[in-house]
Amino acid sequence: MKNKIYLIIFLGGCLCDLNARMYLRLACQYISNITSEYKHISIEENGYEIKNRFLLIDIAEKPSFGSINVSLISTLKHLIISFRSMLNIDLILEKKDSKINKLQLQTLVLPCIPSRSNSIDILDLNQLNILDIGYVNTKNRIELTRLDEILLSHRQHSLRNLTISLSEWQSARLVVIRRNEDNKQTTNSVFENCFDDIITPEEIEKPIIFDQSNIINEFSLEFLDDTQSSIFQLSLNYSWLNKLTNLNLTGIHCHSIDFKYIFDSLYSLRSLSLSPCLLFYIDQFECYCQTISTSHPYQIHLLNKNLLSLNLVSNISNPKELCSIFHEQYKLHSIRHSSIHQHLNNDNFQLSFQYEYLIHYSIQQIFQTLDLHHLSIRIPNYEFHIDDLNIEKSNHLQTLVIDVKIPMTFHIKLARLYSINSFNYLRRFILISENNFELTPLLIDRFHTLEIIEIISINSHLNRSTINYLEKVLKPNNYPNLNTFRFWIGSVDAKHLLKHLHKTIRLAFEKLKPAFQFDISIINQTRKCILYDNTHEIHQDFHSLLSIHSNQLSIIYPNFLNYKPLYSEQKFDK
Amino acid sequence: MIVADIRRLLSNFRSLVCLHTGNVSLSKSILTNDIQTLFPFLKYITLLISLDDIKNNLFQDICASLNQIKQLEYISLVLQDRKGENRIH
Repeated sequence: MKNKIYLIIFLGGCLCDLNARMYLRLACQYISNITSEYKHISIEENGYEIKNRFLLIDIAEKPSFGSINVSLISTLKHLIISFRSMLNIDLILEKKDSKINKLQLQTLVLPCIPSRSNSIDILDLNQLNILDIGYVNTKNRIELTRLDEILLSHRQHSLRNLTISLSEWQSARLVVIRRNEDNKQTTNSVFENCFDDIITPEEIEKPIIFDQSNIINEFSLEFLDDTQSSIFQLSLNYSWLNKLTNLNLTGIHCHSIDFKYIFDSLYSLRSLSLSPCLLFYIDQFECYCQTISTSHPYQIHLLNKNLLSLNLVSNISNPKELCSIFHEQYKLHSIRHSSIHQHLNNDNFQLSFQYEYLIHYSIQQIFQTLDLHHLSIRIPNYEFHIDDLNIEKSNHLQTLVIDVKIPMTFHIKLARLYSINSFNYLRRFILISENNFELTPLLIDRFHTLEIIEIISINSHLNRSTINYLEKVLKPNNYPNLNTFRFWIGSVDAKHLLKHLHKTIRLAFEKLKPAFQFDISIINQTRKCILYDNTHEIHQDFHSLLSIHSNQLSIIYPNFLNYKPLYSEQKFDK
Repeated sequence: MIVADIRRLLSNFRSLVCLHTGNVSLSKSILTNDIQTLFPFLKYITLLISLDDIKNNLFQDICASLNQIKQLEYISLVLQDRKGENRIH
């Protein structure tokens, strides 16, 4: 049998770069002219710059890239075209051989929705395992309808990995459909208004048991456009949720008591990414003001205790703002339960609806209930509180990634942090912060077990005494597991000292570890840190690799950098 | 390094199955004329291709040359601007 080849193309740089656009055109030309039979084609954007990790693109202003044709042959099983769509691309997929019926694809990853419907018509999506349209970012109704056509395949139950994005639609509504024995349907959604009749808890069989003989529950996420009208529904069937190994909901802003059913059904979940906001809900059925003494009118979802990896992500620009969706729900709650509701709507109370407060509160709650192995907090505009890291003494944290605002005097509080927590299992420590904070020895001096230390602080200054400290302690005996040590900084005291440090460290480590990486340097925007280099294995802690055992659902921001290995780095079924 | 030397060096690896050029971009003549002669058993290839190559129309030539190698199973092309990497002529 003739070999079916794999063709992998990496695009260095994002498409706002003129050269990258030329590369893309050439890559597509090459694919169309290739003469061998192939089964796997991938074109992927490879790595990102730190500054662009939460790149915002005004989709109305996107310049046009023009049309680009990709002509494909019928041996193709996996088609992966993945990059952030900074431009309006008219992508046209064609069959090379007009005699064959349709391309039988198992994997489809597209950066935009093809503008002509025959581009989709040439694809048979019934065997599709992986559908990733996470970079598709559109408000155009026609395109959204076409998106829905592609999503139809989800209902075929063949899909194991689905990625879509939601940022321009801004909201989703969680719809829960309950069927009772008479096959009567009851639905319940999040944004109900306070004047509608609601199902009171007495009418729902309690507790809700996921039992086929009893009630069949079905959830669906309904995506809304900015006029609050529904674009399409994505049904989440219970047995599918059971099998999910990775769930990413960072694109959804939604507060619903019904998420409880989703979180409860995630038995196999290994890693979860979400905005902290999603964890909060207000019970619209009942008001607990008089029965439970609590300072908050809201509650927080409990996550499955078996969860190992949690990635908290939020792109909020002003943490001092109130979460308006949530605050609105609270007002409805107050009106509905006006006879017994007691919480005052004073200024102090309003503060508990601030994003900042919600983030802080959720992080604390998570640490109290979960023993995570991998945690990442990626909220660049959130100012870190030292007691955010109050992890119980016996924790099993192996990976800690923090991309937040670090207070200038962070180091003063570190001693307290270490007195509360013992990080005996910590292996990887990555800290990214754009604001200026003091780099002191304290930052690493308790972490002798670390394999990776990466501190990216674009505006920080590295002083002489810290350099001297590093020279004294950074030795293979003290840090036996260390493989990567990286400080990227804004400025440094004495360049000659730094040069000497580089030399000493290399001499000490490289004999034992030829691949040892040591780099303290003034930031260069084009370099990739571990976090934004998709090929680094750390991404596997937060994102399952493709396998017959993995099932993933990702509803994401389109331009947000996800923890996600490149498809080209993964093994596809033969 | 002069051209003849690198070619002689490469000719010592005739049985090579996997070639990864890393940060080094090979010269036009090696890529377009000799790759098949130098490595007749090549199955896996990773090439770094930079903008200079594209300006000289080299990209199409490389692709044509890759099309000639029938036993190839895995082609990986890294299209990226040159960032201080070495070039072997």
